[in-house]
Amino acid sequence: MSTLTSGRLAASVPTRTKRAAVERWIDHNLRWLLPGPAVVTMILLMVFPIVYTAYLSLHEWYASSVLGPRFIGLQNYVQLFTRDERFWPALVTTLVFTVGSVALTVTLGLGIAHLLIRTFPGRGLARTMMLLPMIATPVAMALVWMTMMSPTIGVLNWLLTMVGLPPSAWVSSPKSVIAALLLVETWMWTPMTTLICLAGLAALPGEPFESARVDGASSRQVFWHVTLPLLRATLVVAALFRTIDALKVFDIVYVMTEGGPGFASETLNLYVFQTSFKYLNLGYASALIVVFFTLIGAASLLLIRVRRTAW
Amino acid sequence: MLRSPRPVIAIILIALLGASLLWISAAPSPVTAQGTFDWKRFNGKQIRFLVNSHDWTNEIIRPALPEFEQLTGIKVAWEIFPEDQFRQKLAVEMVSGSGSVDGFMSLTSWDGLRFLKAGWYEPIEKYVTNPALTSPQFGFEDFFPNTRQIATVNGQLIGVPLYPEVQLLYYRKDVFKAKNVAVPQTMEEWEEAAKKLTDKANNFYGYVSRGKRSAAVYTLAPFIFNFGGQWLDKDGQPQLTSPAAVKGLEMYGRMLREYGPPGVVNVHTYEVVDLMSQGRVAMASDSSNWVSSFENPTKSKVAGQLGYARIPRGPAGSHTPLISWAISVSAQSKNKEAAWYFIQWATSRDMVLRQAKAKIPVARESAWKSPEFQSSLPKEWLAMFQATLPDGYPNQANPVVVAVPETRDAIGAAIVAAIEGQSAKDAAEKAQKTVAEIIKKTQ
Repeated sequence: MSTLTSGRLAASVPTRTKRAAVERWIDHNLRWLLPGPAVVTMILLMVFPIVYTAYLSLHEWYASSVLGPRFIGLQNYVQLFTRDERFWPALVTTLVFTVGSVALTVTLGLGIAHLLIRTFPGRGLARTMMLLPMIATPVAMALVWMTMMSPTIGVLNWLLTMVGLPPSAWVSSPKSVIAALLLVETWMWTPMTTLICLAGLAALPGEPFESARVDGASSRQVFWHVTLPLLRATLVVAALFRTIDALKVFDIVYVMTEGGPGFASETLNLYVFQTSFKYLNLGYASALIVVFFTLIGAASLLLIRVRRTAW
Repeated sequence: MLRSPRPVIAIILIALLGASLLWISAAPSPVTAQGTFDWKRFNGKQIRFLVNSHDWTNEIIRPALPEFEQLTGIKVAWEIFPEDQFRQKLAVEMVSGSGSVDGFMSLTSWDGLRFLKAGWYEPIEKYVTNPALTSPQFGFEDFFPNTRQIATVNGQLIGVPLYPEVQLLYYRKDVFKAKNVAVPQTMEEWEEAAKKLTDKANNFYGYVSRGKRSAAVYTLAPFIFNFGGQWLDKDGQPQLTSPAAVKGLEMYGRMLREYGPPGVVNVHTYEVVDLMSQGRVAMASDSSNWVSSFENPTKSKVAGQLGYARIPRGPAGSHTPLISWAISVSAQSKNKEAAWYFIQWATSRDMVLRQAKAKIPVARESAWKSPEFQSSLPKEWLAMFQATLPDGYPNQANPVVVAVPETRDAIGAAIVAAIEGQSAKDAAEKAQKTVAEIIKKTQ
């Protein structure tokens, strides 16, 4: 009994020094230890999937296959760039849609923000109303637009014929489908750019405007030569957000056309979805995703560079 | 004196026991007279089925599960999902190879070859022919021969067919009468009728069918078959550029373009049903299953005014795809025999009769001929379905290949092009090339 106790007492001295050593080590490495869990989480949730996707993109693998992934080198990429009849049209559709969407939402957003920054009775109400499309659920709104755009029973064609215009096929013709989708996209996302522009406008200093007016500038001149240059950074942010959003557009296209008629409105994102979840062709879908990821990355870098020069 | 209550209690207990035995034997037996077949053989087992949402899964089988559990002592998990989620869920569970799924449903025209190649189906011929595992009452020969073909993939019986579909021509009797048009019997008469019945000024159209990419492949099929074409040749190579296939594609595109409603390239089967039910078209061709929607006065403005006909015949006759969901035992299951017990119960004469009473088409002849089924649906529909059935091509809703979704998308793109008025020949050639490549890569 006594030997046991004394043994334990004897052991407690080195324990204490050991603990001190551990504490010292922790203190010393605190700058690694504190962000550690966050970094590990990031690696697990972001870096690993990206690396694994890149790895899969070099394989042939169907999810329903009994065999595991089979290494085929760059064949997926060769197929994609040289023989795939859906990839290039999808890329073009994605780019056209993105450019159209960014141009429309940013221009309109700036215009509307310019109106809403003024003081007028009911301004609060107008600002709230303006936000509504953004708050609504995209899938539900896409379904409502679908009904409105129906060529036989839709209200939009009824309106067109009321004012003497010919009815449109809206999303039911390869010729008009992109324009019709852009209409919905613009309706849905202009509130966001408006919000960003409103914040930008509200933060502008008053002096440049005063001095411009003292110098006798017209309001158009003030807009082009004072407001726009001052807002440039804000506009780039709005354009950056919208570009990334528009590049990966999915919900409204999937609900309204599933990429049709034919493949006329198939964007890259939709093509990836079909390839992975409908065709279960995970290897090829990974190759598509890698290309798509590179594209989004490049677009973001470009815009961020523009933004730096804008400061 | 003190002991006297005991015999009384004993007598009461014996009486109760006897009464309960009598009661049990007098209660209507849940399914079929049991005879000597041992339904309790797998008492205590637990099985799990993944199934597609349908009236049959929801309203016929789900409420009857306690009867099966009472009959066999097997516990059943019956997990129902909408079609898309169902396929994803099944794929994930089967690929993981955990063996937690004992049985599942599949649409053999769509999933058959892929599931077979992945090794998910347990061939069931050996169960059906084994009297120790299959009740003598089951009678597999009661299923229409054609429907047994649906559940046969690459020569292997992989399940039991559930509710067969063919395609029919739906038409408006009143409109045909008013315009003095006869019900078309041939492809030429069909187009002629569509032309006469179209009244674009009044937003009324002669004919509608599916125009949406992948969905349209199913309704294009009879146009190809009736001109003498097939999806694939004997070696499994696509036949989309054969003269018959191009002719069929061209006619399908032309009829929908000229006599179909605007925006037909976005029309899926649901829109076909809407357009017909709302009285905006004179004819539609689609799955025979829509009859209950059309004849339901709360859903359809044209209930009672519809006629049913076979798809008009071409030089090669009148053929439509014959498809059905089937229910199968999973090859990974650890309780395959218990799962087969469940399947033979769910597709037994009595259960299929219940299905027929609920107006769901059946694959069993006995249930089809039952007075309950014969009186529940329009006579004309029944006659036309039965006339179409023997000429139906099992599973030919699309080329039966491993990669059905991408194949249907490729053919669907050709259909959209044909509807848009582009050259059917060029569109067919493009689809032929794509499909050949898909087959080469996946088979």
